Amino acid sequence: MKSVRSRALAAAALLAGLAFAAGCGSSSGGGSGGTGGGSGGSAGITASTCQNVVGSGKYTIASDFPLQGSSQHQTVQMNQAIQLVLEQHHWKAGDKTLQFQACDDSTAQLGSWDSATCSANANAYATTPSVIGVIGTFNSGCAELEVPVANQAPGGALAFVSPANTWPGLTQKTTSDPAEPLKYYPSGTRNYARVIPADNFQGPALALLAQKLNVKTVYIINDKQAYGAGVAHYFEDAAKKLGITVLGNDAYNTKTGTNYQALFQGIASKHPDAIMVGGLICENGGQLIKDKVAVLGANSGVKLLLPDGFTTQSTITDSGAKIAEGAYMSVGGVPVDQLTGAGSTFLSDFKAKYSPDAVDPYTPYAAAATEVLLQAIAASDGTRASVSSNLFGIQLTGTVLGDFAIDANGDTNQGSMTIYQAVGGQLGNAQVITPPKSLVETG
Amino acid sequence: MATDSPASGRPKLAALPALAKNLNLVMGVVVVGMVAIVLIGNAIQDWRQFVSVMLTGITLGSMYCLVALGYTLVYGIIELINFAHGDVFMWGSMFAVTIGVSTLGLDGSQSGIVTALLLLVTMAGAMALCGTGNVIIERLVYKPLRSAPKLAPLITAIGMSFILQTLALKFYGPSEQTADNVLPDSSHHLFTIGIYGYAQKNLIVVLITLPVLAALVYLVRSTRQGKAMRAVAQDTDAARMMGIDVDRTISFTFALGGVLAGAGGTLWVLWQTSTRYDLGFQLGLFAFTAAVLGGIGNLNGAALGAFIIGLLQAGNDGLSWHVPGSSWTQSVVFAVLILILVFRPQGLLGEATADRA
Repeated sequence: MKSVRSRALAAAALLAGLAFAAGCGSSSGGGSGGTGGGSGGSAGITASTCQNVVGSGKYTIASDFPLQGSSQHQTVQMNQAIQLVLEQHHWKAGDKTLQFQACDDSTAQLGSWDSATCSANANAYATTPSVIGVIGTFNSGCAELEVPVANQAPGGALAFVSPANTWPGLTQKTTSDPAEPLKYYPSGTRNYARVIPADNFQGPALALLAQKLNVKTVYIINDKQAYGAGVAHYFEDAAKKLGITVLGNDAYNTKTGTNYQALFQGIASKHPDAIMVGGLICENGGQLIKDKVAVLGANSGVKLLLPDGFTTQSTITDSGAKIAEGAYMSVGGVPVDQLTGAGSTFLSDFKAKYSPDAVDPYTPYAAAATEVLLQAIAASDGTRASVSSNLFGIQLTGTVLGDFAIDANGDTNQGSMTIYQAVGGQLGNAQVITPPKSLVETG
Repeated sequence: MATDSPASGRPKLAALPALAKNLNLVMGVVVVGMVAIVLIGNAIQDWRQFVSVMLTGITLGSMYCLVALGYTLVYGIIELINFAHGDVFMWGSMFAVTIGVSTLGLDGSQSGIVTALLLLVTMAGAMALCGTGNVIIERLVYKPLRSAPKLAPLITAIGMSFILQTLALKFYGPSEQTADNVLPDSSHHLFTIGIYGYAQKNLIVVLITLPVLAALVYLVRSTRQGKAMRAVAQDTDAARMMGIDVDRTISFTFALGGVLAGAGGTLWVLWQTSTRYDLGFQLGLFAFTAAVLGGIGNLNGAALGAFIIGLLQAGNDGLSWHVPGSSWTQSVVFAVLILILVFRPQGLLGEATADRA
């Protein structure tokens, strides 16, 4: 009879193990939103996650962002930016008339992007003949699902231009998965470009910051996930090139309820000048920062370097303003108030039209992504395949982000990163760091 | 020689059962020996680091202990691994945030006596709500399955765990619920060993856990109600024949588990100053492991298991001399669970009693 009990215990352990799935990201669920349908223009996307068609043209441009949950503030502005650019172009790309539809890849219950919704959206774009290009996605994980579907769309690979995806593997080889990036392009042709620098710029930017702060030794911890371990790896490489001693690169447990005091006591015995964390705030990041400060002291002493998985106000609210004080957080691109020329004109137009409380950093990137797509459509013969092939090698002048080009992989040649510091409970002290090519690892 | 010598005059294979019989012992000695060598090595390498990490482990163990006691109480009486217990604990922490922070406005700015009073109210509220909640869960969900095959209530418990988690997600959202430091924050050290400070609140956690454990042991061992619980655990039918109200006793056990979770959840919020809807999952898993390690159903065993898991985790995370390191902490903990399930299913302090299944 003893064996019965042990078998029950083993089954219990197994079942509990299977439940290891939740976290910051994936689950499934339904969508919400308006209904599709054109008004004089072509038929739009009929998926329930897409809002009504705006404008009336032959070709549909869709946007794909999480419109519910914590990113809502950012994504609503991004859609407004796209519409503003389209209006300024009189809803035309060259001689082709356009209309716009905003689609939602999130669910209310998750409050963030949802893998099932992403896949369903991609299928809806692929099967709606009028869709000529998509601006999106916001999250790299969602792009990993949508790009391969769009890549095999009828009528040729459907173009995606992202204003926000930073996972390098979408466009380049990575050390974490040898199948990247080709696994996202099953048809053999590329259809994805982005206007934001990828994470392989982020690591070097943080390493340059460390050098500037006179950091001699650093200890890295990462969350074992593609993003966190990836950005930690890029940081480690760049730090070594800059002559900073890397004392270790170890993983940490990301489950809520984990305490990190012992981990930091172990790290303290190695006396690092700085700690770099490859991870996300929603993976128990608040606790991680609290325990770092509890064991190693305030961030003015042992520096805390965080990538854009932490670059949000919730890092300060989750760990407490006093504890977060002094932590450095990086994010791709340049801050809104440092835009010049067409960028500052766009900002004043945007503020005049929508009067936002504050312009989000991603808003100008949504405008730039739209400009890339419009130029590719203008130069195309009106087919999906032609638009996609026009993305690569495209040169843009006088955009909201200034002049830039998209290379053969679909990456921008702009590599500027902004590093913020937690000051008095706010993200402040913005400084722009542009890592030189020699520090950036590319596939 | 009157005693038989096992190997002489028999085929060699016959020696195997004797070896297998001793395998548990051999394995035990090997594992304990290895751990001892690593610990001694680390203590020699840097005793300050060693002592600090072990102290952290004791605090962690105390926290696991509060959860593990809830598992073991329920298992002891109806042999159900109540996987929802970790989530009841999570709800305890949520109630503490709602009552203490949102309603009473505890933010550490109040004077000592006011803070203590408000804390008592918060803790009492969380304990009452969790106790009631746990009894309702038992009545609605587990009671109808009491005579069903063992696997049915077990899977139901896992389902209940998801329901409680989703309810918390619904009510509190996916973001962290934070509280201000009410206890002295972690920069207040009781003492310092080398570069390692020992936070006052780490000691408070231990000082609250130990009396709770003692009170529980007293309750189960020495009170009338405890006697009834043990009687129901031993033989439900006989207990009923002797006039014990079995349903009431089981409900009492669940209420006790809930009250414990409410107190533990409040303590968690005081210690960590934040909680989230999925807190119960990992805590519950570690506490379950601790309960199985110590011998599920045995209160002292659960406490022993919890402290072992806490020390194991802290040691693996924080020691430097020949330990696998933080990447392997979960693997180490669950490897221990598997070793225990294979070689000593009754746990360290458990008795190999007959199963009623």
